[in-house]
Amino acid sequence: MRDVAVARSGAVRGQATWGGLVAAYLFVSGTGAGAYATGAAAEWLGAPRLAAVAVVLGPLLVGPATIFLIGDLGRPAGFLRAGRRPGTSWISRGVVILSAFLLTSALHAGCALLGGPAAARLALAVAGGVMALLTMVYTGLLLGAVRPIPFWTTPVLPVLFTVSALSAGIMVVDLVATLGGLAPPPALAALRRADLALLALEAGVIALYLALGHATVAARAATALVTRGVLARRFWGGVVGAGLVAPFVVQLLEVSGALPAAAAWTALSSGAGLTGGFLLRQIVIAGGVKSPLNAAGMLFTLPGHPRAWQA
Amino acid sequence: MVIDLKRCVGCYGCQVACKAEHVTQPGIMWARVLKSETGTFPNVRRLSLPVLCMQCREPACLPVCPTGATVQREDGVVKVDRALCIGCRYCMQACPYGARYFNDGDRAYFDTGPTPYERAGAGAHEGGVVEKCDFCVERVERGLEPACVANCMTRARVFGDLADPESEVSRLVRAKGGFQLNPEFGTDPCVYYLPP
Repeated sequence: MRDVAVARSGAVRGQATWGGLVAAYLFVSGTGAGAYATGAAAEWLGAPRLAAVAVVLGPLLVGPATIFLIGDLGRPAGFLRAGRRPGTSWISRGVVILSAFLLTSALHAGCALLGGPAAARLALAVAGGVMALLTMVYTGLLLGAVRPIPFWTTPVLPVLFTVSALSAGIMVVDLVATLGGLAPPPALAALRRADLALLALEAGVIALYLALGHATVAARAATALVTRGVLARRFWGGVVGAGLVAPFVVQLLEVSGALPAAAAWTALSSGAGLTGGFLLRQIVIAGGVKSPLNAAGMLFTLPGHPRAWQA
Repeated sequence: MVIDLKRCVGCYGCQVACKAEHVTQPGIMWARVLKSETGTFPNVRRLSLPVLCMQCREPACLPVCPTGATVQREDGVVKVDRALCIGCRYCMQACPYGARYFNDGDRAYFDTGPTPYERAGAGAHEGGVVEKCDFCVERVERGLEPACVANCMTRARVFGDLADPESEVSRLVRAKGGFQLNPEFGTDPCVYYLPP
């Protein structure tokens, strides 16, 4: 079965319609929403200084992230039209979700910076937390609506994006709070313990994501492309090594007291973790292999799709 | 539309006729012929597969469009309203047949610039938006067949009304086992193929 062999070789490339700008948006918006969600949790768990840092980082990251999306449009000046079909299009739903998130998170950030009442901060944390969760999840659902790309239509993808975004959010909050001396050490230690759990969970979800990618020939091709093909170095070195193993080990040593508390360790673990988080989004986008056309039992590469099936 | 894979010889006449009719940019071919080979010598098989926009009854491109630029006409043809399209290319991702193309600006075939023919045809296209085959609606409205159908030298392509059970296309699908490409995506295409 030459087609299965071609798929397994990892030589079939993914779609080329969406590229680095979309991956950049996914990463920065996910990280911002994850940072905000961390802040919302911190409000309720009684860590107001940490919460303030996190809650401000949310809209500060997600707002500019939308510029990546607008810049990727063929006609950026028309971007306001993108919200017209929330009934059917995940891009339109995204416009609504992002607007609601930016509004609530900005209000919350203002309240936190200007010393607003705790009740207001707690209420905004709930509303904003819901919108942050939607911001993290909807991108996985947006990709999931692309029926011909099995690498994207799995229900594991929105879960992966959410877990990864929460972890990246924690790492960026830790980085800023540590470098700026903006939060007490016990709060930061709690943050790192939470991230250890998230990183372990993320590793499991990634393993599940790849393990399930074998139902169709395009799914197998995508999995092989990521684990054995051109994207493999970025995946194993970047996503697994830098994105999961490095921050896990450093944070474990920090939390257990084996490492002296120093900003350099946080810079290392957060820097590596955030790099891995970006590469994960890039790999999901670049790994999106489209199903070939099937006529009379023969496979044909789609027009405009890189790398032929009929090798 | 019905395309008879037994008659198709892979001459690319349809691909060229479409380009001549619509003066599409380099790299954009609304109608295209794909080829595939299988088997090992001496038992080899080659197949030519003409593809175009399938004008699906349940188009995958329509619900994902965030601006409502993609619409489905009464007669089933799926059209892109260039004034509304923002070039997000979600429809291009969603289409299982790769039938949509992004026009990324004025490009000409030759280094010396656009030919008079390209200049004349450029008005029908716009940079920054997505475009695709529209079953030559302007020709059909004038009583002609789509360019790819009219130019097929082996008469492998037939155009007609699938909703009319007595039309030639409907009868061909019934009599010769016409099939849709990749029906598992649930788009219910209006282009049927007859087995090779």
